[in-house]
Amino acid sequence: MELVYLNNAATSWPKAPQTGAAVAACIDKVPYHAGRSAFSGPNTAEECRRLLAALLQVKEPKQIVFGPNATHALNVALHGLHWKPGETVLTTVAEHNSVLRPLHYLSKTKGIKIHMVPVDGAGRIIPEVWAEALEKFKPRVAVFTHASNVTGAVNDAKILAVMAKTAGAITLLDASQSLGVIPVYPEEWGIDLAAFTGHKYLLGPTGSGGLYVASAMSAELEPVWAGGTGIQSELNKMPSMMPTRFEAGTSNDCALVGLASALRWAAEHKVKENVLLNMTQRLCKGLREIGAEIIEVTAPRTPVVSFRLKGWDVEDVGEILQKSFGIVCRTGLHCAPHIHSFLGAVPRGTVRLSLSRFTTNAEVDYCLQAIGAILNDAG
Amino acid sequence: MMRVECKKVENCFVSTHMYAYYLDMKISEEFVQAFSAFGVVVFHKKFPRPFFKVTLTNGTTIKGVLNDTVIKAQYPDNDPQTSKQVFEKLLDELLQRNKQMKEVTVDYE
Repeated sequence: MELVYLNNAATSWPKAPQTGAAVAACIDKVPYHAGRSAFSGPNTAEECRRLLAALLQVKEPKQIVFGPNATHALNVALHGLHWKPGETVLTTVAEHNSVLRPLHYLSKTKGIKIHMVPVDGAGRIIPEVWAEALEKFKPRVAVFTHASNVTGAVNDAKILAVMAKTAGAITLLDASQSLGVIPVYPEEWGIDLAAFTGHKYLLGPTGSGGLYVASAMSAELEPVWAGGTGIQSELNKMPSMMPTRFEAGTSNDCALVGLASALRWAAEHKVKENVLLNMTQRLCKGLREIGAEIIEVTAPRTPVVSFRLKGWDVEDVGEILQKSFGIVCRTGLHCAPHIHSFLGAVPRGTVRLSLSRFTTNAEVDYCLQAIGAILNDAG
Repeated sequence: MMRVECKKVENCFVSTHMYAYYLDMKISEEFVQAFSAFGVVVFHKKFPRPFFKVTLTNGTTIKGVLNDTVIKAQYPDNDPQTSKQVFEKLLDELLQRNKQMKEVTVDYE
C-alpha cells in the first residue's frame, strides 16, 4: 500500500526537488555566517530574501524579516505594536490559533478588545460585513487570513485591505495558506504586515517563514526579541535597520538555504493554478457523487477540501483513511476553532484533504474510492 | 499486570480523552472478538487493512486495524479516569488470556 499524502495544508510533502539536498549540503558546509566571521562566502539568507521579495513583488528585500514560521511572524507583528488598553482589533472567525491565541493573550495582558466578523458558509469573509464592522468598531488593527485553512476559500485581500486602510487600521495579513499557490502582493495591495511560512505551499523546509513589514511600519513596530545581531554590538538595544531590527540571534541558515532552493525551483516551475483548481474540483465532484457532505467553496480557492460522512465520526474517517488506505489527511478543528459554527461542523469539525502541485489524478481517484468504500461499508 | 506502553493522543478535537496502547503483538480478529463480551464489536473487513471499532457498555470506544500493534481508546467525558482504569484492567485480562491461548497452542504443536 503506497502512501498518498493529502495533508499539504499542514505541511507540504514532497518538498520541491533538491530541497533536502540543499539543506543537507548546508549543514555539512563550513558556516560562513555572513557578517560574523572574517572569511566570506555566499550570503544564503540574503539570497532567500531576494527570492521572496521577487515572489511577493516587494521592492526592498530588507522589508522581509525571517523567522521560524508564520506563528512566530504573527507574534512579532501583534506583540510588536505598542498597545493601549481599550484599543480594538478586528479579525474574523476563520482565523487560525496562530492569530487567535496571541490576540487573546493581548486582551488579557494589554486590555485590547477583539471583534470577530462572521464568514459565509464557505468560510469566506463577506466584504460588506467587513466594511460594517470597520465602521462600527474603528479598529487600530485589522487581521485576516488570505485563505481559510479549513475550507480553502480565498479572500479578496486587496479589497479587504483597502477597506481597512480607509478606516484607518493597520493591516496584518496571514498568508500561511496562500503564498506559493496563489499570488500574494502585500506591497501592491497596501498591506502593512504579512506573515507567511516556508514549509507549506512554498515547498520549503519547516523552520522557515517570515514577516513582510511595510516601510512605513518599520519604525512603529517594536522588536519583540532582542539579542545578538552580528552588527552594532556596542548598542544596548536592537539596531534600527531592517531587517536586523527584528532578527535577533543566529538564523536558521539551513532552513533558509532549503527555502531558497525551493523558491528557485518554483520560479522555474510556475504553479499551474488552473490545473490545481481542476484537480480540487475533480475531488469535490467525486465527493459529492458518493454522498459526502462537503463544505462547498467557489473559486478562488486553495486546494483544500473539508467534508464529513453521514453516520461516521470524522476522527474515525481520518483513522481509516490513514491506517486502512494509507491516505494522510487531517481531522478535527484544524486549529481554527471558531469557523466550524459557520460551516455547520460543530462539535467534531471536518475531515480535510489538501492537495499540492504534486498530487496526481490517480491519487485523487484512489482517495475517492477509499471514501466511497467507507460510506458503503456499514460494518 | 499490563505491560503495554500507553500515550495520550493529542489531537485537534474538543475535549477528547484518547489514549494509544502499543501492544507487543499484532492485533488478531480473535483478540478483537474477545471484546464482544463487554460491548459491541464492528469490523470493516473490506478495507485493505481491516478496521475495527468496539463500543463498550460504559461508552468507551476502542479502534484500530488488524495486524497493527496499536489500539486507540477514547473514554467518555464523564469520569474518563475511571473508564480508563476499567479498560486497562480489561485489556490486561484479554492480553493475558491471549498469551495463555498462544502458549497452549504452542504446547500442542
